[in-house]
Amino acid sequence: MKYLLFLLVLTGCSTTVPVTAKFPVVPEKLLVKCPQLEKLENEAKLSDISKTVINNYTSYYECAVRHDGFVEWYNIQKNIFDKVK
Amino acid sequence: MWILQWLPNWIFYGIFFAGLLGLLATYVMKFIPFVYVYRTPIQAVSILAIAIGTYMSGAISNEEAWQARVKEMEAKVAAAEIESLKENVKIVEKVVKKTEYIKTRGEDIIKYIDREVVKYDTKFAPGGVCEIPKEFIKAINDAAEAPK
Repeated sequence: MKYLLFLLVLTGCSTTVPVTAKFPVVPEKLLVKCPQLEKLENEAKLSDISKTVINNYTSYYECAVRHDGFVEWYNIQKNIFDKVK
Repeated sequence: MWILQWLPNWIFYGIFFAGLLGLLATYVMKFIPFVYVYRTPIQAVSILAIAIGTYMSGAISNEEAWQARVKEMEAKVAAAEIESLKENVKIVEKVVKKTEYIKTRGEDIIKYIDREVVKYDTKFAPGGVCEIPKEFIKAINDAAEAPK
């Protein structure tokens, strides 16, 4: 009788594994670090200065696009994740 | 419930009905000597069987409801993963497109510098008419320095 009661009590133990959503993987393109900005030589010519400035602007915008992409990725993934309830 | 994974559901329904039949038998089949003699133990066991059967029927129903919920969640998670992958592709495409545009624009401007701005290099060279001051270069380099 006591074993039967023991078994009955143990039937309440749950074995259900909860469903877990995997954290989405960030695209590799968005994980690239921003580069260092270029510097000028002491004897830099006007064209060198212009090129350095242009290269730095380009680097900034490339980095900004990746950053904006990451923010967009996060917001979209959060929305998708929040919908799963 | 682990016990429901090991034993088929019909066993618990069987226990319930066996208990019910046992209990009924103690009232209806009193003329059988065995039933008459062991009436009380049979009733006790039958009531216990009915209790276990009722409890486990509820547990089965609860388990089925949870399993349905798990399936529903699994379907939602799978759909979310597919949607997530699709959105990833869209974002990457957008980033690649914009990066290419920025690169091309930078290259075009560099070509323009090589074609037009170089004409003024001698004018702005050290010792030239409009020499670029060292302070100007220092200011630009200081601004380009990454914060530590």
